[in-house]
Amino acid sequence: MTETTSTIATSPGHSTPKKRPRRSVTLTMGTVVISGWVLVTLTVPWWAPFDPVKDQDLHHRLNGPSGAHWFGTDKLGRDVFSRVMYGARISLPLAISSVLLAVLIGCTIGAAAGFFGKWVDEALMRITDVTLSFPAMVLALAIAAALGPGIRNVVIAVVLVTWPEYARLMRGQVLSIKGGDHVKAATAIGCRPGRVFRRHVLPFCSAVIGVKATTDLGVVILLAAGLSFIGVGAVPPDPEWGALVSDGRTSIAHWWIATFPGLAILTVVLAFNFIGDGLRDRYDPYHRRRRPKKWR
Amino acid sequence: MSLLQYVVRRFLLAIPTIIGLSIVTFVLANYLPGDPLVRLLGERGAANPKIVATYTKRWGLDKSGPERYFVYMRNLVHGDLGRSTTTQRAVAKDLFDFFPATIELALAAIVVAAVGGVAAGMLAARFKSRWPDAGVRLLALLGSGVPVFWLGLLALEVFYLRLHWVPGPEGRLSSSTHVPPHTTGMYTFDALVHGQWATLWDALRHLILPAFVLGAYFLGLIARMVRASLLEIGGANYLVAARARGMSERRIMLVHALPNALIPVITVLGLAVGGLLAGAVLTETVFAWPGIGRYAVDTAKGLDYQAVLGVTILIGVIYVVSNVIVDVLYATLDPRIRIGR
Repeated sequence: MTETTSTIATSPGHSTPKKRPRRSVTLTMGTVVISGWVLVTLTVPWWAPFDPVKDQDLHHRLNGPSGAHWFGTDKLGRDVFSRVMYGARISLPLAISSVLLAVLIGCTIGAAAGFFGKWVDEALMRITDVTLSFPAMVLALAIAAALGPGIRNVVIAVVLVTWPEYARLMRGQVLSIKGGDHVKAATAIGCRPGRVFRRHVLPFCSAVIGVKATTDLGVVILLAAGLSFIGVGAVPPDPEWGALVSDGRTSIAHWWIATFPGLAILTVVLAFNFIGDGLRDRYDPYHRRRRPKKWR
Repeated sequence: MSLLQYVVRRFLLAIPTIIGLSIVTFVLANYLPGDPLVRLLGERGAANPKIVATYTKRWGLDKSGPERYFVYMRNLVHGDLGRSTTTQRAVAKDLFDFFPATIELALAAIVVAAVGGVAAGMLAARFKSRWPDAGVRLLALLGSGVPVFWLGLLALEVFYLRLHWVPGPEGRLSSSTHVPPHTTGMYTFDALVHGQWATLWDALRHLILPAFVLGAYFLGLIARMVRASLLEIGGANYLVAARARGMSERRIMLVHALPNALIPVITVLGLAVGGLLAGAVLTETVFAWPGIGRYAVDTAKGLDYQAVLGVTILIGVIYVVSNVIVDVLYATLDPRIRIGR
């Protein structure tokens, strides 16, 4: 955490910065929020006051927040609080599995391209160029619409639109590392390509990939929620967050229906952004944020 | 490399990408799981042998894969994107009708994002570490994680239901207002050109909220960038010199610092075109805005796949072209980029 001193020192009239507590604060905040949601995901069946799907109570439909229903009830009298909490069981695993799959596929292909070069590389770069030339949301919509609604298809759509970014990133990393002296040395003493890759290239890529994957968890949650919101994602009784917000669209006067699931999405996405930024500052030497000088 | 060479090169490089785009949509239409005929013609169309026969002939479905792709490509080049089973019209015609609404919304959002973002960024840089700075940074932070469809619903709740400042989600005009004569298809512009002030006012009232919602994310992003780049050049020698000559702080900011701080913003605006078109899919759904985003959503729900692909390819092409334009703009403003290649 000393990289800022050189830039600061060159600008006259500025004291050396204090140690940076703020950054770790956001990292901690993000971690706390995500840990909270993970806890909810794991334990919600034991303490949720109502069943998110079966507990319908038409006598108490569209009731505002109250002691019995903290977040109010929806148009079928279901408890919005329980639905939002159960929603974590859909959104979080969906995001994590999509990002893991995208990382796995993208990094394998990207590493192959970077390591072997030549036509493999050329072909891969063309494919990623094309995929990246669609806005993710639009391509995901087209894929999800073709596959039909359902959580599994959302995962497929999300993976198909996100893997090229990892491929490209991984390729760049591999290319820059494989020219390094330690790699040449390993090859010179007779290591096989597989071993060179595993022991001498891969470890140097993990930081950058890990940082991107963390931030992408938030991006993917937004993407999946968007797909569910427009009706090509989760199938109705499922309490996916985007679908819950969509429930509120038909009755905007009943603000609680959309507001609370939206807040859930917001907290999770911000938390993943915080963690991603924090990790980047800590582990990714290329993206360390320069501390901006003061105006004047 | 001269600027002209660079421009030509950049445009040529976009061609393979656009061809790739058509391959992707071709694969989506023909090779995803499920019966492509049902996907493209609808259940009823696929059950009707006459329709299937006509369709097979027109799109070369009885031929091999590569041949079929060339038929597809030929049709695309002739502007034939197939027929929508929802509207029973040619997809190209539908897109032509729905597109101006999206352009109008996206342009308004860009204006909101650019003007608001630059202003907020300047404010934050000028009052660094004081409350305007904190406020702008907090808003920018929230903007980076807020689902745009949720923001739209909240905005409607507040500004329509509670405050009655804007009309509800009823599209581009009130039902009592007549559509202005067609010049561009953008109602605000058309009304302005034809001097229909009442219509202009009505169109603006309908436009303002969706534009803010759609532009919010980029407003925050631009604010952050302007702030960061102003702070970065804050201590530059030419600013110190200007200050030494006794210029007012306002003049230094507006005349000397801001133009240089705006160059990175151009890249964001270029990316914004894609982001805004994608965001339009969600925003248009919330506000019942009759653009291509809502068209894509409606047709996707109706399993009307040719229409969905039409939108996909249109947005893809716009995205590629806007990226090229941004690169060219960037090279014009910053000669180092050309020399670097």
